[in-house]
Amino acid sequence: MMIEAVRIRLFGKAVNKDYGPISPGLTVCYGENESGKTTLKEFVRTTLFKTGKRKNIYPQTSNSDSGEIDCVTDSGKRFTVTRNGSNVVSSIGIMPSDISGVDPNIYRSVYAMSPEDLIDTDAVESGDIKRRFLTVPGGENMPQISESINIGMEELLRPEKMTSVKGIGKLLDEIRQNGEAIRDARSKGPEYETLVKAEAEILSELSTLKEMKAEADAVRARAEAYIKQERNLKEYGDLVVGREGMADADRAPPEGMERYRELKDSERSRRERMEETDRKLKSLRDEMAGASPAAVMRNEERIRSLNENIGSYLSAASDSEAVAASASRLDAEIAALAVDGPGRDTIRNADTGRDTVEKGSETDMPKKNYAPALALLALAALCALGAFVSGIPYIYAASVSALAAIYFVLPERSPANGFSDFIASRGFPQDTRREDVAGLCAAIDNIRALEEKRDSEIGQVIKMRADMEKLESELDSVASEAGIERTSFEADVRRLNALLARSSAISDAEITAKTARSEHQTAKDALEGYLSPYGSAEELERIVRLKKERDEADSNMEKLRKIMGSAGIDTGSEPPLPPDDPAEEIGERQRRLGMINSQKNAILRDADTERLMDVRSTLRAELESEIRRWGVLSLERYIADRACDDIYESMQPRVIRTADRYLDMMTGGLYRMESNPRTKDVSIRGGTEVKAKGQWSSGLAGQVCLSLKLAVAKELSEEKLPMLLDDVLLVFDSERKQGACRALSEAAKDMQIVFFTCDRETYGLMKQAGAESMEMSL
Amino acid sequence: MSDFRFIHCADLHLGSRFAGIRSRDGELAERMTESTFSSFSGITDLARSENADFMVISGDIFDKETITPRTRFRFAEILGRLDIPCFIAWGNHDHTTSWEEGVPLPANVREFGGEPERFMLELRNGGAVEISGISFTSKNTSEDLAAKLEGGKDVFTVGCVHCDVDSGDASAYAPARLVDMIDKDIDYWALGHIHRRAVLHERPYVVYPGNTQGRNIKESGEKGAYVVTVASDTVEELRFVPTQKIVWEKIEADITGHSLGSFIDSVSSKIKKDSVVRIAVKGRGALDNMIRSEPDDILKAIQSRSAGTVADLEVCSKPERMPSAGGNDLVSKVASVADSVMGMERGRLIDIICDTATSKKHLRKYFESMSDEDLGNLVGDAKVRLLERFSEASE
Repeated sequence: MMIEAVRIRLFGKAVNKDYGPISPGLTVCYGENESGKTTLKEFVRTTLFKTGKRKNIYPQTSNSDSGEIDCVTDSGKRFTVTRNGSNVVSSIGIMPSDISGVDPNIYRSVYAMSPEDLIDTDAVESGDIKRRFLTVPGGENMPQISESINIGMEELLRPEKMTSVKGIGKLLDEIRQNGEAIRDARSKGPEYETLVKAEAEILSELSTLKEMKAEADAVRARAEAYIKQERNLKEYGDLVVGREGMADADRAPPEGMERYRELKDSERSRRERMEETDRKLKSLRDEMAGASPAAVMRNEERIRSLNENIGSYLSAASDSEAVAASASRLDAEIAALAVDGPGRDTIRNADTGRDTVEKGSETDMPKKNYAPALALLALAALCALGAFVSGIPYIYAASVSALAAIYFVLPERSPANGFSDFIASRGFPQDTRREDVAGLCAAIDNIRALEEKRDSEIGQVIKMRADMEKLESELDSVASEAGIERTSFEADVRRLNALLARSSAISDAEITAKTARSEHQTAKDALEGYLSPYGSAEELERIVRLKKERDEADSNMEKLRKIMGSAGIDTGSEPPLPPDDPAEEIGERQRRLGMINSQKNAILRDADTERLMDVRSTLRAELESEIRRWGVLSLERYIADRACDDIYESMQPRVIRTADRYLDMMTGGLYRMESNPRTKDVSIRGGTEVKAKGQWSSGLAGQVCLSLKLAVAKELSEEKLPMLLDDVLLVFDSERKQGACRALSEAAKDMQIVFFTCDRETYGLMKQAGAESMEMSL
Repeated sequence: MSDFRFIHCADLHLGSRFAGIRSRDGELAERMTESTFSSFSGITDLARSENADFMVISGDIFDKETITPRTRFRFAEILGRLDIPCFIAWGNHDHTTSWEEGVPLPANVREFGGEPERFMLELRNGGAVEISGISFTSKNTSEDLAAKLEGGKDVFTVGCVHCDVDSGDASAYAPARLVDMIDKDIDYWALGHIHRRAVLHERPYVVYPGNTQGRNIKESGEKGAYVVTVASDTVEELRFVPTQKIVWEKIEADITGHSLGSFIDSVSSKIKKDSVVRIAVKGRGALDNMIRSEPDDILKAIQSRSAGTVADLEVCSKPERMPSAGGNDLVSKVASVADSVMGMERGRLIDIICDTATSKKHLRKYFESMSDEDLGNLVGDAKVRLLERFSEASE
């Protein structure tokens, strides 16, 4: 599309200004400042590519703006765009922006450039240009993809510098902070150790302090006890002093008066016993009634023998009487038998029994025995004589009595008659005949038997009486020796026997009395020996009493010692001075211990570290995921880059080729243009050196920008739009201006270019490059 | 001859964090961290319910990165509830801290030191068992700790050690050789270190119980402890009992024929409660581009409808149309270049990814820690994503 003519009715300061016809190629419009160059350019631009109000751009649009632009399309269709205020219409219904599809802003940047547009190199890199022109087949979306990858990576990790604002940097920062927090939290481990050590130390100190306190308490208690026990202490002191004056107590026997009393009691009891035995002995002796105990004892055997024979004596006395009576009865019986039977002669003449009868008659005759009676009489006479001489009447009387008794005892025998007397006495007939002997033999035998029995009994009587006499004689002897007068056998023997018992008792009593005397003497000696060290019983008593007093003192002292000892008082030491009480220090340690325990428990129960570790775990998982994402994006980018590199080696984009041609013309071959096919970033190669955008000088940047915009303008749309350049070469030096004019002339072969300038040099160079010229004025 | 039962566990990593969960849900994070304690607590419950005679823990009880006094305190608390002896051999993650003595372990715990020790344990039934063990004393060691252990000839011996079996002498974690171990008078090797459970040998038993709670997708499946029953000095039964509270799973989701809504419904229904899943997106379709361009939004949408937890998406799907690499246009060139990048060697690939000053400085180590497969996946993702960008731009 070309602009053939422009008619401004009213726009800015321009009123009813007509411009045209305008060349389809390169046209240079020269005018001084305020000659209407910018007004014309802006009228065309704002009419063909309507944009909103723009600040600081002259002239500002208004509702009174009006005018027409005559255009022709590349295909030769003519149309006029009419402007009335903000209303812009086309006579054929086609607006240039619709024809080209170019964004008004791009148009302004690329087609309606002013000097500042050459400085704005970013414009050539804006999305639409890149998207549409700096690509290869199939790679139209490459910039968008590259950008999204870069954005993704940028979100995760800025390539040039780590930041903690977002993405991996943020996570790493969070992990770092979390790590620090965990380190702080885990310092609770060593802190716990410190606490345990401190606890052990405090416990040790506490133990020492408690010992000190216990000791202090004890000392204090002792001190208080000294005060409380003051009276006891004084009493104790007095006792000590008093005890010192009791040295004699050492002499006291350990058993005290006990032994003395024992000995004394022993002596007394021995003495009393001795006196008792003496009394008893005397009594016994008195009871002997003049009998000699010694004589009695000498005849002990005899007395005992007599005593034993009392029974036999009495029995003999009794039996002899009875037997004698029996014998008398037998005599009478025999006599009776002889009187009533054959008579003595008959019996004497009998063959078989005469001798016997004879004999029997004779033996049956009782005859008086004078010998014993004489002996007794002699003895009685001797006794009576003795008694008479000794003058003891009762012995004399006894002897007389004995003599009388003996005399009366002697049996008085009557002379016996012969057999015939006997028969006669019995009434037997005198004429008993011999022939009656046989009959009488039985009677005689009976008589003989009776006689034998009588004789036997008489013999017995004799023997018994002899025995009795023997005993009497023995008794007489003993009684005489013992010094007692005789009465009766039994009584005397019993008396002797009693005297024997007394004599024996006297003998025993004498032994006892002797023993008692001996024992008394021993006891007396012991008592005197015991007392001898002390001089007297009184001294002993004094010493013992002293010892008792001292013992009591000792006991009291001991009691006091115990009382005071239990109160912690040593009686031998002074009251202690209480040390400082460590209670406060103990309290302080216990408080610290409590704090440590609660700190320990807090650590043991503390879940903060766990929570922080949970967070770390999550952060690490997130980081791992983000890093993985980064890895994928990084690989995506690499794959995309490699693919682009590979494909662009054979397929250089047209825009870059065109721009490269223009730059080559502008720089006289010094620089060539390249572009990054992925990002479409333009770089410049000067020989072997490649310069990225930031490395360009301002002049080179202008050349690159102009080249690129010319190329883009050429390739931007199917319909070639006119370019309106407002003194864009002002920043160039003369050489660069010349090169630019060459390039513009070349570009104008493909599209209409209207170049506005106030620079004479540029104007001249443009004309030299073949531009049509037009001088402007308002 | 003794009859007894014991619990063998290892690699508790108490207090360690789950990897790969991007959710900033504090409650979820706490539940996951708590799961390591819960699993161990479950093991002590197991010891009680099984009437075990003792327990052995073969190292890595803690995690060097996360251990705090509270962690050790809670471990001690759980052990304190166990009324049977517990033998501990420390591992490479259990390096000592200055404060640990301040949080003492209960009296029923016997810790092995850096030199081999042998304990004769009198059993409740009157029998005896020997526990022989050794601990790590530093973060790593090239010493064969297992070789130092000895057992009794006339008694059943449990060897307790944290070591790396048959992974080569270059291992820094007490490298050991199985052939040497089975030649010793040790009847049961209670090992730790490898997080995947494995019975390397029987008679004598050489056992890795695995860790007690999976913490990332690589530690998927059930986790717990072994209950070992010994009768007449012979291992009668070796029974694994899961105690984990959260199971890591990888589930596949096909986009083919799905709309976004139906895809999200389909995937979320597969996610079980108390599971943490990685969704491997397969198939071909228009959703591919959507998932790749907005993975976080898709993840959140699935998460909001599922009972478990979605850790991440592994997008292996393809777009509806994939340009061929044979054409003359830029898109074809992109496909061709991406294919060539896929074949690049690792170092070059990392150089390409980290080509800026900041990425070199801050990111390189992350990519260097990636496996070749992961790096390959990055290239694949980049190719698909880039082609999708061309496709989007042309629409």
